[in-house]
Amino acid sequence: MNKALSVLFVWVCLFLVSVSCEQTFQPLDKTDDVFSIYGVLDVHSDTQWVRVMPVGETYLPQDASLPPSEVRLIREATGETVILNDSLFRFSGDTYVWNYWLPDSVQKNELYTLIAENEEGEQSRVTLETPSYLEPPEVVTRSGETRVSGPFQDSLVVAAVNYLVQPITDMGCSQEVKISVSQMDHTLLTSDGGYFFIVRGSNAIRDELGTSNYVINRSSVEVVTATDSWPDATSLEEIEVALPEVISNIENGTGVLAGVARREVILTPRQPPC
Amino acid sequence: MSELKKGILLLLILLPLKEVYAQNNAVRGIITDRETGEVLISATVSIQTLSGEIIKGTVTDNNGHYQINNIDRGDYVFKTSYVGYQTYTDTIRVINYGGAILKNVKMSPSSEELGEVTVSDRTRAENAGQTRIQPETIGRAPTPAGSADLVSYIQSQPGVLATGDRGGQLFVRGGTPAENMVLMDGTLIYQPFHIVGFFSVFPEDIVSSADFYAGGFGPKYSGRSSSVMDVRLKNGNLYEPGWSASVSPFISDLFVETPVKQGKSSLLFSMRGSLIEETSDVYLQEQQPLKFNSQLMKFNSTNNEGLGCSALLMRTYDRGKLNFDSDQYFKWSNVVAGTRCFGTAQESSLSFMELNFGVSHFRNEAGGGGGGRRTSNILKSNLDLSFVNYVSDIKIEYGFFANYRTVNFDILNRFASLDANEESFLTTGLYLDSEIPVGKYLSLKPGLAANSYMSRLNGTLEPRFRFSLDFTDVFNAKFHGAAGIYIQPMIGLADLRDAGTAFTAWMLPPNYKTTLRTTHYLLGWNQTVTTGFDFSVEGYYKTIEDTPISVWNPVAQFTTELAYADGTVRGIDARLNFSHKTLYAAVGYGYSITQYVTSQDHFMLWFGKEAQRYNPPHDRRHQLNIQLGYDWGDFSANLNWIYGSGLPYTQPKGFDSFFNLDEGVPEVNEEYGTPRVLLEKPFQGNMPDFHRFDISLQRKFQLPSANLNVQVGAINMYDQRNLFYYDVFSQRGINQLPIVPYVALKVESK
Repeated sequence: MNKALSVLFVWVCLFLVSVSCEQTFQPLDKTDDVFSIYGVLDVHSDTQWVRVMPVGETYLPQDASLPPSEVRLIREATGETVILNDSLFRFSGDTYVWNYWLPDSVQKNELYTLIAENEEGEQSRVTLETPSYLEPPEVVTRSGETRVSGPFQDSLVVAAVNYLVQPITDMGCSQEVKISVSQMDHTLLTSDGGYFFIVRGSNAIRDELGTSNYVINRSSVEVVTATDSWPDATSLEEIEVALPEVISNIENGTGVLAGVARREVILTPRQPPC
Repeated sequence: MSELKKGILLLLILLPLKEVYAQNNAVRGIITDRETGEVLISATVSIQTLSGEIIKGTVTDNNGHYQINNIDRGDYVFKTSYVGYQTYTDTIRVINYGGAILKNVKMSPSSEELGEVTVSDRTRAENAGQTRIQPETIGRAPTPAGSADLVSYIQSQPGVLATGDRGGQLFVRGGTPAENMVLMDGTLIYQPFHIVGFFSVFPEDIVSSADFYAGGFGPKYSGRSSSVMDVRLKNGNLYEPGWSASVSPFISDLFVETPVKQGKSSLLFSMRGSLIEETSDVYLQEQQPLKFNSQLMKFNSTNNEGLGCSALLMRTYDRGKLNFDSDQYFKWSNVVAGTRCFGTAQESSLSFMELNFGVSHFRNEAGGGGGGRRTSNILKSNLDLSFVNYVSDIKIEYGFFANYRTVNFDILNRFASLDANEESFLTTGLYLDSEIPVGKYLSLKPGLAANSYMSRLNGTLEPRFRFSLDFTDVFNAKFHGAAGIYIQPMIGLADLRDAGTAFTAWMLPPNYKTTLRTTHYLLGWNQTVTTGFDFSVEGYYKTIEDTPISVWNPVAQFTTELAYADGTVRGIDARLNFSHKTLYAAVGYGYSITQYVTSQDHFMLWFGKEAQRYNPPHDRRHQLNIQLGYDWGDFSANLNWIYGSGLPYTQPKGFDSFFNLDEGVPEVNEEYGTPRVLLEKPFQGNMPDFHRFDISLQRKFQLPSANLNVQVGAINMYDQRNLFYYDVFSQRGINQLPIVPYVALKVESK
């Protein structure tokens, strides 16, 4: 019996030793996507800003030494290529991102290709068309109502009023917040190629702030048209919009770069915060 | 006619059969331990001729109750035996008047050491899916405490999965923790497992016996769809006071029992409290914010006429973090009060009756970790009546029950569409179970449970069928089978997107539309090869309908929505036991495949298919457990090695910041965007395998007025880095305990 016990004990020990080796664990199954690209090429802006970040291996990129990539914009009609300048931005929580900028305007109704390339030569790219120019919206205030209208071509993708507001509490003025109130759901598109809406905002501001006691430090009407580079997400649920494969026009990457014509008219000039 | 009405009609037809029984001569009674009044389960009872020839025999059931029917007029030797107890013998005279002789027996423990057949004799399961657990087996799984714990032993069973050494969540044969029923002297306790995974509210000191059903349980257990753990607590000693106290770096506990009225009533008190939070800083060089405690008091009263009553009161509290570096916390508490009375009488037409009344309250809270606070409360009161009758040799058990529940929850921070809610509802029902001997070897056990939810849900009818083929006399083998429908009206909603949760919200199914429904099919074989050497093999197949799950979201975020899945679980559990003199060895192996299918609105866009088939995060393919125990002199040693193959998890494939263009032009200079985890199709990755080796060595010292047990041991002896779960946000693996050596002391009265 003792011999049998000894043999059993040795076998158990050998077995335990053989299984006690560490198993490798690779939690990340790295995607083939190279860059995440978000931004617009605005035919009315004299500077173009585009977020170009490598698809990361961390939830929040907190490495300020992340090397910039080369981002170039090609005007397809002429073949003219420009390299965009890089700027490192820091947001709260010490997260860092690279935004790229071009101190120039883009032409209307033209094809542009933006290419982002890393040090290994891996690329993400997007080709898009810019829209026609958009007239500044006509804003009329009558009987306490603010009416906004104007002609447009391409697709109307944004009709909104942007506010800078400060909630008032017992402790005084709180921090200023930006609230954008979409007007799209009650904007009328006319048969002659125009749009029209009456500004609605106070309920949305109250819902957002949770109080009807606030001051507006600035407000403006924003209207944006775009080519089909702007994704049509009207029929999608929120969860579907977040699907990287669904809302993206970037090859080998994630995100959206759209060609837009963006106009803004000030309703309430900037007031200093209280 | 609805199914429910048909069931009620069937029961009403069968119940009057109790009158038929009275026509045969029978002997019946309850077999108990003389010192404690606890019932003895599986005790052998026989009627013999005066010359010693066995005429008829049976074994006691879960209530220690037996009945031998159809005895001819005459004088007989009545004999009861039970391993570890002195055999009881008496003579009885049966007069042919068509009634029952009441023969309650109080057996005295034997002074002899338990023999090597103890284990198989006292733990022999009578049904498919059943494991009978006795206190002496609980200690075979090393526990870092002076007293072993039932949960450590349960976790070593094939088919039982604990996701880690903290959290207190057990998955049985593909079912979720909320589908397990745990009864304490007949009263439900919602969360009996403590946040430190080695411990539950059931230390070995207070457990008299436990029946663990991994599936295929009878109609008496209604309302849960996966497993049942029916724990019977010890009674306090009726004659002698006793006590024990123990301490280890993890836990301290105290146990006291005392007679109140000699031989008639007793009181038992037990309390436990964790120490790991206080000791971990020094002891493990890492603060482990885990705290729990529990208190139990039980009063027991018994008389010589076979009537017993008990009342218990228990309170538990758990609080802690599963990821020590996060500020996410979990808290829960139970308060349980229950009374149970049972008995048998010579004059009664009923062979056995039992009354249970209980109240169980469970409060659960989670918060922090960026996920907001969530709370859930449930209060359940129940009244159960059970009866046993015989029609010739057919045993019929039936009963009625009524439950009243009040639930309230606020889980908007996790399940965004489920409004905070409070509601109450009443459930009433009845059950019928039977045992029909067919020939010498076969026993059929058809049964039925019927429930009415007073218009809140549709009434349900749950037919269940079990059988046993007992060839013990022929070639020492038993075969069991079971098939049945199991419906769970209450869902316990937990966000099981990863293993790092210990929060469950109890509620009626939203919109009352879907009810969790499973069907079980089991087939098992128990074989005794030779004295002290046996094995069992059991195959099972389960179907699952409408189990609640979290919606798959391509963006890793705290809030989610509720969806449903159907599924199947199939597998095989095998166990081999060997005991020879002072050596004990057991090997358990479980193979299981759990597969869910879910359809969610966004799947067409995401995958191009409406439905997705996947293995949920508790699908463990292989599980192996080896236990060795050896006693010599005052020493005893126990080894336990457990292996589990890696669990499915959802792999991230990258990270970016996301702008929703529906909200306007991306302001890349002003906003960071929404951090997004680009996820693979859920649960396609596999975590590393889990394995752990625990060891303990114990020595008993005889002191003048007490016994001292000193135990040294180690959890995770070879310091395996076992992953508990992987946090995609912090990209950190949360590991289970490293090697933890410990010393535990226990002092107990002689």
